[in-house]
Amino acid sequence: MQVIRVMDRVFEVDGKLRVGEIVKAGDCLAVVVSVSGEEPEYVKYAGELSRDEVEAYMPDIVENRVVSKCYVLRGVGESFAPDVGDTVSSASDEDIRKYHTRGDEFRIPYFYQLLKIDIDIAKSVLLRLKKVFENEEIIDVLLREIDYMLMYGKG
Amino acid sequence: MVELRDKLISPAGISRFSSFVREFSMELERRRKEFRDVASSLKFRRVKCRGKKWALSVLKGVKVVGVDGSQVSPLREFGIPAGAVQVASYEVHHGYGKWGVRYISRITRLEESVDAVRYETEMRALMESCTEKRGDFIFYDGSLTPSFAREMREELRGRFFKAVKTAIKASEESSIPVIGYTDRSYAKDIARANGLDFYDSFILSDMELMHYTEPVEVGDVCFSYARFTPSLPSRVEIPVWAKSRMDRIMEIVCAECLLGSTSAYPFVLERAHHYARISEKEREYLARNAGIMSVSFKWVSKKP
Repeated sequence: MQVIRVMDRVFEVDGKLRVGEIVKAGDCLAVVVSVSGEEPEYVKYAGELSRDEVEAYMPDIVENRVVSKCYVLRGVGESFAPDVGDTVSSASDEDIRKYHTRGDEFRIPYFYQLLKIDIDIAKSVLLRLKKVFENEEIIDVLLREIDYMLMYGKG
Repeated sequence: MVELRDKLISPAGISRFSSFVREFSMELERRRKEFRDVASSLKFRRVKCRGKKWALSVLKGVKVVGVDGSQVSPLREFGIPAGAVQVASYEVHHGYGKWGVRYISRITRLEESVDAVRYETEMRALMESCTEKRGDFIFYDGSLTPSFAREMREELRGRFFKAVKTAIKASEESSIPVIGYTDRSYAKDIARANGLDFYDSFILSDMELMHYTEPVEVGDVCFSYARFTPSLPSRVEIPVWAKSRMDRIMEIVCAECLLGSTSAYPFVLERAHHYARISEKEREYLARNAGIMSVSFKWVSKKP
């Protein structure tokens, strides 16, 4: 899959990803925030033809294009973003570890902005980070904060 | 020409515009007998069309290519002295579910004629489709006789005619017909041949459905008017070398039209247009990624 459009810290990918997944695009890590399918043009063309006939004679119109929107995980004041054409893949544990470590220190500079975007996606990111940084107490603190917000309808 | 000292989109302007069109329709009605006399002197052939399933039987196993282009005129409003052209060649192997798209894009300087670059690129796409034998029939959305270029200065005119000659030569050498399809033609070839000054498609507006005129040669190209819908006939142009194959070509054109979303325009050209198209949003995106050098305040003030 590839980056097809970049709009500041949001970019689009041609293909279906999982909402909440952390992906790598170029040198950036991003979280998938939405997946949407474009309406196929099948209805416009089919008429009295069967689906098999449409697939055989007008094959491209039955292909349903799916676009996944991703949010770059970066802090305020940072401006990096992937380039159009960059390959997108699921971020490995190593990718995540390198991205969130400066020196020996764990960092998550984007957290509160991410929380404003979507609380469930923020929780999904933290749960993924927990798998890589098992002993980082700050992740547990942030998870508890989210659970509190969800419990009291503040999400 | 009509001039009025008023805003066009005003009660007076709209009324005058509507009158202008009505007067044209009335002229058409007045001259209908004259047009029928011309039409009755022509020979017609019939396509034995029998609906969409028939279209599938005609197209089964046939490889068809459609070529169309789109352009971005120099992005003056962004202070970017560059334009661009994008040409898409859509290929489909009917009945086998195989398809593909190829692109040729070109970036032009402000001083260049984007229209000429686009036509040259489209003709190049036709030529490559022929030399690489990508299809059994190659459709082009437009004319193989660029008569609009006749009004241009010599150097520019020469580019258009040279470009189409290259495509026609490749078509003949590969024995693959290129088919120029013009949905709304305002040519006057038949009219002028009969001493009239009017549009051929209007003169032939009463021709029978599923019929087409006998091909007429003009230089390297021959043209015919085909009517596959109750609307005005469309103009179909092919190289003269392919004239003997006109019946088969018209069958293919008719079948492609029936597959189209309106049943009136060739499916391959609809898809070529779909892939070639550059939307307004994409145009602005291109400009922003290129780095806007200096925004025109005139443009900003015009944006809704």
